[in-house]
Amino acid sequence: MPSSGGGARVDLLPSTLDLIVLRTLAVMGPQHAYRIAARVDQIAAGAFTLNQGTLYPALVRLEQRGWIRGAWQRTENNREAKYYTITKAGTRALGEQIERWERSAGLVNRLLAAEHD
Amino acid sequence: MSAFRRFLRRLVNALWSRGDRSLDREIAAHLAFLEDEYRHQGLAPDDARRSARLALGGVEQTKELHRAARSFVWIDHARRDAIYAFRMLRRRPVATFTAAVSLAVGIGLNTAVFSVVDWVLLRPLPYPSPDRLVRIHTAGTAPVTSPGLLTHAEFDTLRASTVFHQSAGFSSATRVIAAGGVRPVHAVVTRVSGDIFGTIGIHADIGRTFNAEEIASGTPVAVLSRAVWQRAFLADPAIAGRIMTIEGASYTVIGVAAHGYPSDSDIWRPSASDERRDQDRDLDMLGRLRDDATVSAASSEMAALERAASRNTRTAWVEDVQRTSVREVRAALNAVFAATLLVLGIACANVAALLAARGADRAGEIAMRGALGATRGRLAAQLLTEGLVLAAVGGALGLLFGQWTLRALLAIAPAGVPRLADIVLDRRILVMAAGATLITGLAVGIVPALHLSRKAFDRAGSERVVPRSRVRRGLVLAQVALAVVLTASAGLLMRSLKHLTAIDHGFAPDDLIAVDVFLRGGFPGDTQQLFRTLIESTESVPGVRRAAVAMRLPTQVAGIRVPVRIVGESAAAVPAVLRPVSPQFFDTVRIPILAGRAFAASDSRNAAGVAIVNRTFLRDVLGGRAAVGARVTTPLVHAPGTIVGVVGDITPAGEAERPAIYVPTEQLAIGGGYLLVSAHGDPRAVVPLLIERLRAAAPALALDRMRPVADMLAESRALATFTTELALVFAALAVLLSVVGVYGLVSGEVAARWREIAIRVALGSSQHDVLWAVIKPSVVLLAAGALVGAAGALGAGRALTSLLRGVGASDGPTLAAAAGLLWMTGVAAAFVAGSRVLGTDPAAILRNE
Repeated sequence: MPSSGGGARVDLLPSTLDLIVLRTLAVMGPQHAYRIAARVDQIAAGAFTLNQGTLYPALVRLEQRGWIRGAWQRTENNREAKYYTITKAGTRALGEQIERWERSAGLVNRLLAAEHD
Repeated sequence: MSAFRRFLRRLVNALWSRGDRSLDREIAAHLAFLEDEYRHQGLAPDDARRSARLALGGVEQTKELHRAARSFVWIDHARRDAIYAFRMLRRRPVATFTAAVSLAVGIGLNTAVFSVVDWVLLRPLPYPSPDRLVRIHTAGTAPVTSPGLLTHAEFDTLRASTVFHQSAGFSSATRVIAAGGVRPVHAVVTRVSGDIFGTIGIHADIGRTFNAEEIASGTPVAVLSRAVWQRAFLADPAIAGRIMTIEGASYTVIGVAAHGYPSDSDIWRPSASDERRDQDRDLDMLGRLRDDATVSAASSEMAALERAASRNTRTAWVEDVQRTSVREVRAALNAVFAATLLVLGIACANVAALLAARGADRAGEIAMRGALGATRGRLAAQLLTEGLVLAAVGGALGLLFGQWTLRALLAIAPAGVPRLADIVLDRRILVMAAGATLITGLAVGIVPALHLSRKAFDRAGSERVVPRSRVRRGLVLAQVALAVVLTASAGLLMRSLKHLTAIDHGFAPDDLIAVDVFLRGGFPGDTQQLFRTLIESTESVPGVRRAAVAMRLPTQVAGIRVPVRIVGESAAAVPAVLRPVSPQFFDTVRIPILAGRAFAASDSRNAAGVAIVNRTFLRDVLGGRAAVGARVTTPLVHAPGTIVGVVGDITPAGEAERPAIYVPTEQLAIGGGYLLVSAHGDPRAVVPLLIERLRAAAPALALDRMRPVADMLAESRALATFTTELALVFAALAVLLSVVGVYGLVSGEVAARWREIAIRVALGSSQHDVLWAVIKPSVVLLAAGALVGAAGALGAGRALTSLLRGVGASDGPTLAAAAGLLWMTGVAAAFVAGSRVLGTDPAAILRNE
């Protein structure tokens, strides 16, 4: 996968992975784990590489919270895969998570801006 | 909400794991997609598969991450460890059974004895804020006397203190009560000065307790205990307002109280005004301290008040009420509880040694698991789990055993231990049993866990034989030492009990029955005539040898103390115990006449006054001078009496007798006492007919207290008997457990040295040399354990001092016998275990190696 070059690689905060998964499912509709991982890689564009296995704890967490639901289905080339769908509770939670993220990101940004003055 | 939902899911997954099957499927699918992708990018199939795994970050690692998120891993581990432990335990049923039974005995005994200790010593009394309740004791300071009761004047002085929120004086005595439709019975009647129910904070269940006016003026009203209400009044719901008599005087029942004080009292009544004016030292005092008053502050205030009032000749102090009520049994119960802890300790040592031995056998397995990546902590946790599982099995069995033991304990427990009837295995006891089980499990699991994890990692599967039984040897030594302590303590208690049983009472209790005859107030007529009638009726019963009346039982050394003066001598009056008896008393209870004669029918009311003194009187008061013919005066007998005889001392509990003077009841009328009946053979046989004749002779007599005197003496030894019986049982268990421990140790050693033994035999050692080589370390170890135990037993004996009579706390023969017993049984066990080496065929063993 091509590196975007120059930009330092970042570590992903654990809770942000949940947010990213929820967002991916909300935007793209039902997906299986490999597709979610591919999507994350695509968006990260080399800023970080996801050990794809680390996706599984996030999926279990979200499923246990009732925010996503998994079901076995066939893909277009007739393989079987577990497709995850975001639930109503998941959509609500995503809204809250985004809001919280923006608030804390905004706070950090303001703090950093103040430091520069 | 979602967080809670997730918690539940994890818990469910941890407890009922459905495994990784779905995950395996999902990961396989994921890898297939990745492989497709890499092949698409042009990688060879093998490279594509490897890259796919790399991109995933390892299949096992992913599963582990998933498990960690899916469930609570530690629960999962614990569950798997427990299942594994069960399997290990089932594979060795005999060893497991032995270990579980050892623990069951230890935990069961503890549960049962703790129930008793808890209910009797630890639980608060059933009154509100019982920690504020105190008893007030007084004692002389010049000269120093043992703690005693109060006079009413003293009570009035002390009750004025500001440390008390409320207080009351009380005095209990056995009296005959009766009511319309109620046959006369004996009951413990407590007369009270002050509001005793207010002090303990108890209200009546039926009716009411005393009001201030009744207490102040001594109104004849009575409050019943629940027990006497049920026993004598058949739980009459309309009891309030009924009239009853206490020794002939009428009282109006005003209420029933479930928990009165003292707890063995049946009836309470206010003190009459003349009772509050007397000088008798017969009052107990109970107080409720104010919230800001401490026991020590109250004590110093009591001391100051009492010293001021007595011109510094008496002092007073307060004591927690529960401490007072259990004073007699505390030491015994503590000793019994300590003994059960020792038994549990021995059982733990046994099981820990067993697990350690099993661990040693499993060193290879442990090393293998370590090599396969199990962390040291995980291995230790697994060994600890084995201990806990074993303890849980033992604890479950122990609870059953404990319930049975408790029933047995209560059946043999002495009368007079407070609150025994209340004891049940309740939640508090179950929590304690669970705690004991947990601690036991940790204790037996931690030894092999620590020992083995280190060893497994140090030696990782090497075949080297190291002296691996050091821990086991230490445990067996501890076990033997503890067993010696228990055995020696049991021996001391047994010798003490033997001393108590072998006491020369000074009279012959075995064929005697005592009938309580409290007449005071109940018989307005001539009590002397009544006594004559009772004696005649009694002697008419077939099987009765002789009957007499006495104010006190021969089991009671104390009595009314009177000053006695010898007529014609100028010496000051000497205190002596006055014992009014009917003429045949000495023959009835078989007190020997040492000089002169017994009383005779001719010593009647109008005849010349006579007296008989005991041997101690002769020695201490007369200094050995001729007693018969001397004349004595005492305040209670009008004319001087002539001493007509000298009799033996009575020493019912082996204590020192006091100077005593016997006078005939014909010449000193008594208001009540005991009818003593001596029978030919078993005195119980005469009871039915005796009751019939006595009832016919005196219908108003209460005949519900009729007991063999030997039983009373046995009862006075009941606590000692109880403690000794338990100690013997515990000692036997301790010996048994240590024999098992020694046997296990030597068996293990034989197994470990099998090869060495074979080589020795092959090289020409005799069988007996080999046997000696195998058991010699244990013989030495046992000697060390016995010595350590003997030293410990010295300490235990000192702790038992207050329970011992007629035997020293560091009694040499007892210690030596206990140490010797344990050493010998231990050596025998070692010999039996070691004798397996006899008759070994070295060639066969070496071929098998």
